[in-house]
Formats: sequence, C-alpha cells, structure tokens
Amino acid sequence: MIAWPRRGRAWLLIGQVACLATVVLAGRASAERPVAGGQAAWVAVAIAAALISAAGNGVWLGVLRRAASRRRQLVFARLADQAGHGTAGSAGATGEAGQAVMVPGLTLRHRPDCALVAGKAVVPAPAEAEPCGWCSP
Amino acid sequence: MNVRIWLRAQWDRVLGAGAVVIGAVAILLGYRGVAGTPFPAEQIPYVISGAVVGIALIGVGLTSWLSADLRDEWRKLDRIEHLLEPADGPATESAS
Repeated sequence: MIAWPRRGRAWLLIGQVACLATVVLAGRASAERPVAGGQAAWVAVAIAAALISAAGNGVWLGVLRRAASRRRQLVFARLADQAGHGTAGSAGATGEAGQAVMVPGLTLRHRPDCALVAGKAVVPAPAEAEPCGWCSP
Repeated sequence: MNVRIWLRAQWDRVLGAGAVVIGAVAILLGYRGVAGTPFPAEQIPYVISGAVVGIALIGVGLTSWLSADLRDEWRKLDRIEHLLEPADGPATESAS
C-alpha cells in the first residue's frame, strides 16, 4: 500500500508558525509607532507573511490532491482489472449468476461481479447480510 | 466512542475547526479595536493583529480540514486496495 504523503509536512508546519509569528510581531511593532506613516512597513510585512502562509497552504493542498488523484487512478485501474477477471470467476464459483455472494468469514454481501470479491472464493450470501456499498447488490 | 481515540483519529479536523474559530474571534476582536478609536495610527495594529492574523488562521484551518478530507479518501482507498488483495491474503472487510 502507498503511504500517505508526509514529506515536507514539518517544513509546512514550521513555515506556518513562522508566518503567524511574523504577523503577530508586525502587529506589536506597528503599535509602538506613533504615526500611521511609520506603520506602513509593518503592514506590508504582515500582509507578505500572510500571503506566504497562504501560498504554503496552497502548495501543500496541491501536493496532497495530486497524490490522491494518482492513488485513485491506480486503485481504479486495479478494480477494472479485477472486474474483468472477476465476472467469470465469481459467478462461476457460485454457480448462480445474479445471486448475492459473500466471502466466508466476512460480513458484506456483494454482486457476483463486484470487483471487491473478484478472484476470491465466495459462497451464496443470506439476504440479511449487510450489502456492499460499492456494488449495491 | 472514546474521546481520546476520536481526537487522535480526527486531530486534523480538530486543528482546522479550532484555527477557524480562533481566526474568527481574532477578526471580531480586531473589529472591536478598530471601532473603538478614531485614530488610524491606533487602528492599524488592530488591523494587523486582528484581521491579518484571523485571515491567516482561517486559511490554516481550512487547509487542515481539506487535508483531513483527502486523508479520509486515502484511507478508503487503502481499504478498497486491501479488499482487492488475493483471497489468501489477510481477510478483513471494513470498506463500504
């Protein structure tokens, strides 16, 4: 199984804390200036830190979304692959196409062609078994 | 469910919700500070400490929440992949 992406998480955390600390310090520094003109630089510092924080968040979410998308494609490809094999295998194993099946020892009932039971030894499922959320038998 | 287990499992949502709430409070306090004085030199520190900090915290909170959603999806894909393992593999069925 592929691990959840963790690389760079510490840097993101450090960057976010640094940006927030910069904004807070800019607020305190601006409070020590008696005129609005002298505070403009601190306002700029605070806004720059907030923008860097937002950019860091955006990059992090982009990394996670790309990783999740790649993972989804891999799993779907595997599902499609097993569904191709599974239609003949599972239905053949039960002997009755269309009847819900389940893997012995497990709790969900599936359609015979459900990819989640493809290639597994299955038995006819009782009607009261919990239906699979993937194939909705 | 045990609160500690729930907090460990949902720490990113707790962090996200907490950051959004604190950010909203910071914006409200900043607004009160700005409204309380007519001088721009006294208002600007409230703008920085209230509005900018609040917006940054809300950004952090939303990022954490969206990250939690993606992690949930990752866990579901884990479970589906686990179910797709050959029949002689470990037999657990918690997906769907």
